[in-house]
Formats: sequence, C-alpha cells, structure tokens
Amino acid sequence: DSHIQYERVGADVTMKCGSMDWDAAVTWTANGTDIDESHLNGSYLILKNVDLSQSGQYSCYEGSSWHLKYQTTLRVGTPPKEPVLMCRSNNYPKGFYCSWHLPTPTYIPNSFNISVIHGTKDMVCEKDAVPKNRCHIRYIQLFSTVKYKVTLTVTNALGKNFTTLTFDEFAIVKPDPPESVVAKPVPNNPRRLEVSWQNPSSWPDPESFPLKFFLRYRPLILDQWQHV
Amino acid sequence: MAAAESPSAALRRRDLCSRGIRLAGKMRADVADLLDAYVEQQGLDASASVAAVEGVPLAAVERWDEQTGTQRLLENLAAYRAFRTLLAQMLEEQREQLGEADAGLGRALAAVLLQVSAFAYHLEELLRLESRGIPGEEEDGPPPPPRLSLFEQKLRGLGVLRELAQWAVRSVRDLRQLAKPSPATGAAPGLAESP
Repeated sequence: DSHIQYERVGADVTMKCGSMDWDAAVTWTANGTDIDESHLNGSYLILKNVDLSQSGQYSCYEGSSWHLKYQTTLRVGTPPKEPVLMCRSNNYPKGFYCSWHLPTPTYIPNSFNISVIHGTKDMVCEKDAVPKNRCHIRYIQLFSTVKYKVTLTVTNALGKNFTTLTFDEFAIVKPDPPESVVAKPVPNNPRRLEVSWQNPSSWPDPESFPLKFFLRYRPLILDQWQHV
Repeated sequence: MAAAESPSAALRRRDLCSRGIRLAGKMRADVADLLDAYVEQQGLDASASVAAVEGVPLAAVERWDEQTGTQRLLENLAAYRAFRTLLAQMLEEQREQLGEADAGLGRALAAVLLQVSAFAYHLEELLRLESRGIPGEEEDGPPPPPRLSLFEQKLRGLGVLRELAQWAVRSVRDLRQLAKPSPATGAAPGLAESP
C-alpha cells in the first residue's frame, strides 16, 4: 500500500516494510535507487537526522521474489512558524481584505484558517481565488468603535501556529496609489511641468471620501526633493 | 415623488452642506485633541475597551450608503442633541472633580460643547430647508444619571468622547452624501418624501 509520511527536518525516521518480520530479507529503494544495507536494521529502514533532500518515494521489496511489499512517500518539512498577517482597506467604505504568508517555507502542504470577529459577531472572510492567501470582507457596520479581531491559524502535518490582529475600522484604511500619473512639459516654459493623475480605481466613492495627494519632485541632477 | 427644487433652494442647501462639512471637520479635529487630553489627564489607558455606555448614541450604522438624506439629518440631530447633554454633564463633573485644577481640559470640553450645539443648530437649519418638521426635544430631558464613582465617570467620559469622535467623522460623510446632486431632478437624493 502507498501513503504519505511527513517528518520533521532533523528527525530520526524508522520505516517498517509493511507486515514483514524484522528478520525478513528485503531491499529498500529511494526514488528507484537501491539503499545500502548499512541503513537497515533487520528489515527496518533507519534514516537518521533527515534533511529535505531525503524526501521522495521509498519502496520495500521482498528479498528473492522482488514483490513490492510496502511503499511510502516521505515528505520532510517543518511545523509552521508564526504566520505574517496584514489587513487593509483600499476600498473604504466597502470592506477590507487580509493577506498572509509564512516567514519561512515548511516544504510540506499547509492549510490556513482565518476568523474575523467584530465584537461578538463572527464575520465571514471570503477567500480570493487570486491571489491565494487572501480573503475579503464586506463591512456590515460603518463608523463602529468596536474593534475587529482577526485570527489566522496555519496547520500542517507537523504542527500548527497562529497570529492575531486587532484593529479599529479606520486604522487599516490605506488607498491604492494614484493612477495614470503623467508629467508633461509645458509649451514655451521649460522650467515647468504639468502633472496629472487619477484617483485609484479601487476607491469606490471619492466624492464622499475624498483623497488627498502629495507631490514631490526633483531634477535628476539634484538629491533634494521639493514639495508642491 | 421627488419635486424639482428651486435653484435658490438648491444653492442654499449646497451652501449649508459646505459650511456644515467645515464645521464637522473642525469639530472632528478638536474632539480628537480633546480625547487625547482627556485620556492623559484622567490617567486612562488609550486602548482600554469601554462597554457601550447607556444613553450614548452609537455612530455605528448598517447600510449607511442606503440611508435617505432625511434619515441622515434626523439621526445626526438626535445624536448631537444627546451629546450636548452628555458633554454638559461631563463639564459639570469636571468642575466638581477638579475645580480650578485643570482649567485647560474644562475649556477644551466647553469649546467642543459649543461646537456640538452649533452643529445641532446647523442640522436644524438643513431640516428646515427640506420643510421637515424638526422633532421637539423632551421638555424635562432624560432623568439624571445615577451617581457614578469617580473611576466610572472617567470611563463613561472616555466612551462619550470616543463615540463623539466617530460621529464627527460620520457627519462629514453624511453631509457629503447630502450635497451630492441627483442626476435626474437636480435635487439631492433621498431628501424628498418617500413614495
């Protein structure tokens, strides 16, 4: 039979050849290559202090008949470290999104679970198809003084970890950058530039929630910025 | 059915809205400063969670973008009338507690109270413009609150100011919604009687 086995980096792994006795004569292969007998203890395969390069398919064959008695896929990895979580509203007052990632890879599959609580209410964060590791929430209430609490839990076969963010409705508002920023020379006036731009298209209601823009500029030959 | 507005009424509303927006903007900034001063003066933790205080109008609202202009004005008016009473109470407690000891905070509270009163009046003007009856205020007002301990008073004050800060932000947004011209009739959306 064939299955997947997850082990931590640095662990010692013992593989049994299915239901074969300890003293049975067997041959082990790793990704099709025979494994030297020095790694065997009877019919058990001993891998000490495993590293990532030892991930792969391990098979055990009965000595003379070469019947396949056991097969497993070894995946060497690590339990997850505390995930990095951020939440932001770039489309206020419609809603906000949260996105996350792991600071270091685990090399094995991870699953993420996110919970959003507003006061006593549970809110559903809808997962985005693209990018992954992102979900969005629509605001039900606006102008609330009650904080939002977001908890992200990451789990894999070797362990779990989590992180929590608590914030006010206004604290995470951060619009996208302005769009179509264009600087044009002014005819007959070499010392002037005309700069134009648009509100970010993700900002849904610039009339009710106007954005302020700040412009700085400098000639390439100078290091100092000037502000408009 | 929405009736088309006279041009002068439309102009007056736009003028009242712009002035109201400026009033609310200034109020928002002053309330933010007052909140900081209050937290420091009263020795409170700025991040303390305060349970919803009875009698304090909550700024939180669902389906905010679907509200009619009249709803916005009425809810704002009710809120600022309540804050007028609450701030007056706080001022009274402040004077009892500290006497002359912190005139600064007392002055800041009084200044915000003045702006809250002015804004409430401004909202009444806007409602008058829509030929809406202005809801009367209760003659006797709400019953006096039960005597709270000093600490409870401070926490209550924190809750009042926090909610007022949210309201100040909301009011600017509400007035901007009110000021938007409606494409069809030229009148602001939602201010006419609902059919």
